[in-house]
Amino acid sequence: MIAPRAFRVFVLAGLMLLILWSRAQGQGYANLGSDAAGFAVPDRGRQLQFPADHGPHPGFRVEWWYLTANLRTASGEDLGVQWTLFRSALVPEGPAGPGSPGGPGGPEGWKNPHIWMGQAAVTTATSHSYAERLGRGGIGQAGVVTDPFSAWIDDWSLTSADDTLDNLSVTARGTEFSYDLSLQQQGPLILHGENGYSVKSEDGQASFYYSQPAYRVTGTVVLPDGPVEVTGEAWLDREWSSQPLAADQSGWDWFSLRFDSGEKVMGFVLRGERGDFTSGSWITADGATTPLSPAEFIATPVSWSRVAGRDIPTLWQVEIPTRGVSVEVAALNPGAWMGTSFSYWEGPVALSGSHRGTGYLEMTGYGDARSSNPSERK
Amino acid sequence: MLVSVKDLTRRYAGQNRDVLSGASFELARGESVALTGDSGSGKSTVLHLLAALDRPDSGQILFGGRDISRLSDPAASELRRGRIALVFQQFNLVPALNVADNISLHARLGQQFDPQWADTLVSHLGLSDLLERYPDQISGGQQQRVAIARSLALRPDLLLADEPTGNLDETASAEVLRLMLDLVNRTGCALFLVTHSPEIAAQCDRHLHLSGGQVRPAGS
Amino acid sequence: MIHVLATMFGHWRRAPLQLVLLIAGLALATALWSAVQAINAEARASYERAVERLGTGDMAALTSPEGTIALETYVRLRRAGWQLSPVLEGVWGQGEQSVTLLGVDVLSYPGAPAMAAAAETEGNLDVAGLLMTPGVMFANPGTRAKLERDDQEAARIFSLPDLPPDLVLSDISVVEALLNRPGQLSRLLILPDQPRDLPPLSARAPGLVVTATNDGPLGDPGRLTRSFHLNLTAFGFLSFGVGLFIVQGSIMLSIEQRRGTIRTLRCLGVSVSSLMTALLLELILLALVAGAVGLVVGYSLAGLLLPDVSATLRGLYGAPVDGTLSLRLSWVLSGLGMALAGTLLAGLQALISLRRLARHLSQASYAPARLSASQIQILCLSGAGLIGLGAVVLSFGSGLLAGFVGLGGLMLGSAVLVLPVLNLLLQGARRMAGSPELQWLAADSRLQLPGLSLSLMALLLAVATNVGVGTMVSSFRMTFVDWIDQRLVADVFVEVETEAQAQSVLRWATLLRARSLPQFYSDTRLNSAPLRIYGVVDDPLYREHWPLVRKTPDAWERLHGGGAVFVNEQLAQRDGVQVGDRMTVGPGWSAPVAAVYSDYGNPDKQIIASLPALRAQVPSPTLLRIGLVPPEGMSRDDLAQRLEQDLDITRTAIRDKEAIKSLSIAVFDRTFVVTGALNILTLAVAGFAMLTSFLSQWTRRLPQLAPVWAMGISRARLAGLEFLRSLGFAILTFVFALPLGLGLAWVLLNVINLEAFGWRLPMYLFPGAWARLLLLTCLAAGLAALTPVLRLLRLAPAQLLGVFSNDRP
Repeated sequence: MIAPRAFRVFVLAGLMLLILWSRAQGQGYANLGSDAAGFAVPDRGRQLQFPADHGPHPGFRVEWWYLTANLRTASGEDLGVQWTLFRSALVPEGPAGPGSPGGPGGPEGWKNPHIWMGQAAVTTATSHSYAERLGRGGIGQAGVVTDPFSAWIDDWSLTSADDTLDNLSVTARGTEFSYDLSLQQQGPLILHGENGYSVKSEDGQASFYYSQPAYRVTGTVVLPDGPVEVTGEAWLDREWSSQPLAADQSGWDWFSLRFDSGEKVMGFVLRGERGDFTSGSWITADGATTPLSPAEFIATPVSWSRVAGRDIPTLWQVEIPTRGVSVEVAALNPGAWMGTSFSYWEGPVALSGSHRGTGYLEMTGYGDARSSNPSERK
Repeated sequence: MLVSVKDLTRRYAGQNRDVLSGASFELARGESVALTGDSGSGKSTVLHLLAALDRPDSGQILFGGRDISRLSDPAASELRRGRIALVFQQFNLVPALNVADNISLHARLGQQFDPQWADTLVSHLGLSDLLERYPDQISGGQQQRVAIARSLALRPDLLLADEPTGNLDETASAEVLRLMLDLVNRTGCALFLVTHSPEIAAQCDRHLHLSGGQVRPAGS
Repeated sequence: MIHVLATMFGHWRRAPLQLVLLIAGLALATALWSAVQAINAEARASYERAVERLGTGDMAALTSPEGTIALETYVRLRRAGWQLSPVLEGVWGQGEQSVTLLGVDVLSYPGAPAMAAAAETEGNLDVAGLLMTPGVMFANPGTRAKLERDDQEAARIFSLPDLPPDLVLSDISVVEALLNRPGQLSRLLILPDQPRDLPPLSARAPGLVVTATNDGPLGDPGRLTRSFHLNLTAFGFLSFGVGLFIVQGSIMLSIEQRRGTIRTLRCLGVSVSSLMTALLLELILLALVAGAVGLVVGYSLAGLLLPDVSATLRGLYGAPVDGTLSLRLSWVLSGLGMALAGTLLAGLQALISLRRLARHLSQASYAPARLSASQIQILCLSGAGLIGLGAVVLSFGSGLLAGFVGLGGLMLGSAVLVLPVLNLLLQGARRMAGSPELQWLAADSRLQLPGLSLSLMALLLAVATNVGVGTMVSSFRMTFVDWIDQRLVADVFVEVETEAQAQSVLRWATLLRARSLPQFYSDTRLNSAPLRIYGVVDDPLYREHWPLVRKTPDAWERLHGGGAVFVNEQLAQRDGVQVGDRMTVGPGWSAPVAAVYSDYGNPDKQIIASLPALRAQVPSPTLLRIGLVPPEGMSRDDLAQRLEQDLDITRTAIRDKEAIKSLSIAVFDRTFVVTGALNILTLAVAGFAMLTSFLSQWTRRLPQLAPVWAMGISRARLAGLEFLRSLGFAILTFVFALPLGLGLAWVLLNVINLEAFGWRLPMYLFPGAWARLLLLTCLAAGLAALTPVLRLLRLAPAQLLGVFSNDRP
C-alpha cells in the first residue's frame, strides 16, 4: 500500500530533517522548522559522561544509535550490515512524569512525546534488503536503557550484558533477511570534534558525536538462500542534537573508512549553496583521535550510478593530503538504496589506492532526482 | 337464377382505369361456369365480389334474389359461413388444424356439419389416410383436395374457385379438376371457376371471358 | 458492402416505429441493468473510499474473548516481531449524542494517511499536533456538527467525510483519556507485511483469537451488504434478460419483413456472408445507439433510486453510501459491452434464420414451426433438470450464493417448462372447446407458442419475481408491524438525558402509580462485533408482549431468577447460539440462553438480561429511555401532558407508541421503494417483450388468418379472438407463475433473508396482491395485443386476399 508510506514520510519528514540534516523535506512544519525551538542545545564545554551518555537524551530533539559492519562470509564474499535506531521528540519536554520502560522521559503510555524509528539492512554485491520499524515511546515498544545497555524497537535489539558498549549483541529481521551478530570492541571510544562537540556548519550548528570505530564481529546473517556465518568489523556512531542544518545545506556524504594499516577516518561533506562544509576525524590504530580541519578531508565523486530513478555517486576519490591518503572508495553494491520512509543511500565500500580497506558510505539529499543532476555539481 | 350480376364497376384506388366497367352475367344452380381473362383483367375481382369479400363501386349482385353487393363485414361473413365456399390457388387451409379438422371447420362454422357426408367426401377424394396430417405435411395436390372437401362439406349454394390448380402440375391439376366437377355435379351447387387456362375452362358447362371490364361468352 | 448495408438499412426508414421499439427495448434493458450497476458501483466505491482510506478492509485482527487486550500484550507481541496495529474502541457520550470512539496508533494504522491529510488541510496541523495531547479527532461533517453543539472541544474535531456516521476517529492517546481506559486495547490488526520466521501467536498471546475479518466500524461494509447488492444485481440481470426478449422479437421481425429485400439482393449476386456481415454490423450499430440511450436513462434512473438505496443500506446495515452519483468510465464501457453482447445474443436466431433464408430462397416461407414431440420432450427434461438442480442446491448448499443459484435453477427451469405446459393446456382446451371457433383458437394458439415462448418466459419470470419479492416484502412488513407493536411494550416513552432526570421520572411514575419500564443498557463488543446488552425489569408486560421466536418453557422465570439471557436472532444466527446453550456475554460473564427473540431492522447483536444481572456486571448501565404505562383511567395523552408539566420535559423527548410505530413503518417502507420500482419495471419490460413478439409474428399471421376469414369469421371477430388469446396467455402464464413466485418467496424468506440479515420470517399469502398483479399482467398483455388487434381491425380485405394467390396486383 502506498498511502501509509506516504503518511510515514509525512510523519518522519520533520523527524528526518534533523536526523539526516537535510532541509529538502521538512518545510512547513512549524515546530520542527528552523531552530531548536525550546529543545536543549549542545553545550561546547560539556564533558561526555559514560555510561549515562550511552542512553537517551530526551531534552534534545533527535538522537541515534548507528551501527555499520563490513563482514565476510566463510567463502570470502563481502557484505555489509546496518542497524540504526533513531529517537525523535515531538515536543521539547514531555509533561513531567515518572518516565517509562525504556522511555527517555516524558509520561508513560501513549502520551509520551518520543517517536522511535529503526532501520536495518543487509547488502551483498548482488542484493540489498532493508526493513523499517516505527514505534511510540512510553509503551515499551521501543527505547534505550543503560544498565545494562539495551536499545530496541520491536524484536530488533542492540544489547550489552553491562552498562558499557564493549560487548554487544545485535539482531534485526525483515521479510527477506535477518541477522544475529556479536561485537567485541578492539579499542577505546573516540570523541569527534572538540571532545565530542561536533560542528556542522559555518554558522555554528553542532551536535554531540562519539563513536566506537573498532568492533570485531562474528555471527550469522540469514539471506533468502539461507544462513551464512560471517566475521568482520563494525563501527558504532552515537550522535544527538536539536539544531537543523544551516539553511543552505541540502544533504551530506558521510564516510567511515577503515585502513588495513589499522588507522581509521570519519569524514563528511555537507553540501551547501555557500560551499561545502567538510569535517572529520583521524583515528590511529590505538584510538588516538585528531579532528580534521575543514580543508583537510577532500571527497570527489568519480562516477555515478542510476539508482532508484536518480543519479548517485557510487565511486569516490577521497584524499587527505596531510596524512598521505589518496584512495578510491567504491560501493560494493551501487544499488544500496534505502527506500524507507526517508530514502537515502547507505552501503559498504571497498578502498584502493594509497591504502586498502573497507568502510561504509552514507549519502543523503539525492532523494529528489530533480536536484541531484550531476551536471549541476562541480 | 342463383346469381344475377348487373353492371358491376370496380376501380381500385390509385389506378386510372376501371377493372370492371358494367360487367353482367348470371349463374344457375347445378351449373359450372369458367371465367378466363388476361393477367390483371379482373377475374379474381369478379370472384371476390361474388363472395362479398369485396364491394363494387356500382352495380348489383343478386344472390338468391338478395343484393349482396353492399353487405357489412359481419353480414358478408355470415353469408360465406353458410352459403358460399371458396377454393384458392394456395393457403386454403388453416395451418393450425389437421386435415380432418380443416375439412369439418367450414361446415361446423356454418352449423351444417354432416359427418356421413364428410366421410363420403373424404373417401371420394382419397383423403382417408391423411386425416391426422397437418397442411404443411401433405403435397399441394392433396392440399387442394382437402380444400375441395372442406368447401363441399358445407353443401354450399355456390362454390367459388380461383385458379384452384394454379400451383399444381399437370397430372395433379387434371385430377383435382375432375374430382371438383364430379362433386359439384353430385351436390347440385353452382361452380364459378376463375382460370387462365382455356383447357380447364373447356371442361365447364359454360365459358365466360373477361376483357375490357366486360364479361362475354368466350369465343364471341 | 456499402450498398448491401444501405439496402438493408432502408427497411428501418420504412418502419420507423419498429426501429424506435427495438431501440427502446434494448435501451430499457441496458438502462435497468446499468442503473443497478451504477448503484452498486457507487455503493461499493463509497465503502471502498471509507475502507481504503480509513479502514482496515478485511484485515484479520486479534481479539480477546475478554473484550479488552492489555497494552502489555500488544507490546509483548510487537517485541516478538509481530507487526500489529492496536485499536481501542468505545462508546463516548450519552444517548442520542453518543458516538463510537475509535482510537488508533497513527504510526501503524493503515488509515492514518487520510487523517494526516485532513489535519493538514483543515488545521494546518503538524504531526505533533496529531499525536500529542490534547490531540485531534476526526468525524464526518454530520457527526462533527452534532458534537460541536455541545462539546467545547469541537475546535479539535476535523471533518473527514469518508467516515461513517457517529464515529469519531483519533489517536489512541486521545481516546484512552476520553474513555478513561488507559492501557487497554480492543483489538490488534494484523498488518499485511510480517517479518520472516515469526514465533506462533498462540505462544505469545494464548488468550487471543484471530478473527478473519473484523467487524469494527471501519471493517468492510461490503461484506455485510453483499447480499443486498447481489439481490440488486439479480434483479438487474433479470430485467436485462427480459429486455433481450424484446430485442430478439424485433430483430426476427425485421428479418421476416426484409424477406423480399434479401431475396432480391441474393438474386443480384450478394453472397450469404455479405448479408450476414451486414446484419451483424446493423446489430452492432443498433446496440451502440441503444446502449448509449440506455446508459443515459440508466444513469438518471440510478440517480433517482440512489437516495432510497442509500437509505436502505444505512437503515439495514449502517453502511455509509453517498446519495450522489458519479460517472465512471468503467461503467459506461461495461454498459455498452453488455448492450452489445446482449444484442448479439438476441440476434443469434436472426442471424441463423437469415442464413437459412438466404440459402434456400425457394423454400416455402410460411411453414409454421410446430413443436415436435421430441422438442417437447427435451424442453420437459431440461426444465425438470434445472428445477431439480435448483432444489438440490437449495437443500444441500449453504450461503447466499447457493441461495441465488438455487433460485436461478428453479426459475429458469420453470421458464423452460412454460412451453410444454402451455402446449399441454392448449391441447386440452382444444378437445374441450365446444365451438369450432374456440377449437380453432386453441389450435392456432398452439401454433403461436414457439414464436411467443420467449416473451411468455419473460412474462413468467417477471410475474414470479413480482409474486416472490412482493410476498417477501409484504410478509416482512406484516411481521415487522406486528413485531413493532409487540416490541413497544409501554404506551409512552421518555428520552432522558441525565441520571438525575431518569431518577426523577421513575419517582414521578411511582407517585402517579404509572408503571415504568426503564431501558437500561450497556454497549460492548462480542467477538469484535458491537453488542448491546439490555437489562430489563420484571414486568408482566414483557412476558405478555415481547416477541420470542424460540424459548424454553420457563424462559422469563429463568431470565429473572436464573441468570439466563435472551439473544436476538442475529446473534443466534451469526454465532450459532441456540436456546439452552451457555454463552460468554462478556469478561467473566457467561449465561445460559433461555430464548431467542426477533429483532428486525437492527444490524447488530443484542442480548437481554435481567436488570440485576446487568448491574452485577456493569455497575452503572446507560439509561436513556423509560417506557411508561398510564394507571387505570388515564389516557396516553394525559400521561404525556402530565409528564411535560410536572417534570418540565420538552415535548420532543416524549414519544407516543403510535408515533414511534408509524415512524418505523415509514422507514421500513422507504427501504423497499427500490424493490417495488424494479418490480413494476420488470413487468413493464415483459409486457413490452410480448408486444414485440406479437408484432414479429404479424407477417406469419396473415396466411393463418386469411382462410378462417374466407370461411366467414369477420375481421372484428378475429380481432376479438386475438385479444382474448393474448389475455388467455397472460392468465395461463400467471397461473403457472403463481406457485413459482410463492416458491421464490419461500426461498427468499427462509434462505436468503437468513443469510443476509440473520432472521427467518414467516410467510403470509396475499391473494389481494395477486389479483392486482393478475390485473396488471392482463393489462400488460392487453396493451401488448392492442397493436396487432387494431391492425387486424383496419386490415383491408385485399391484403388478406393477397395471401391466396401469387400474382395479385
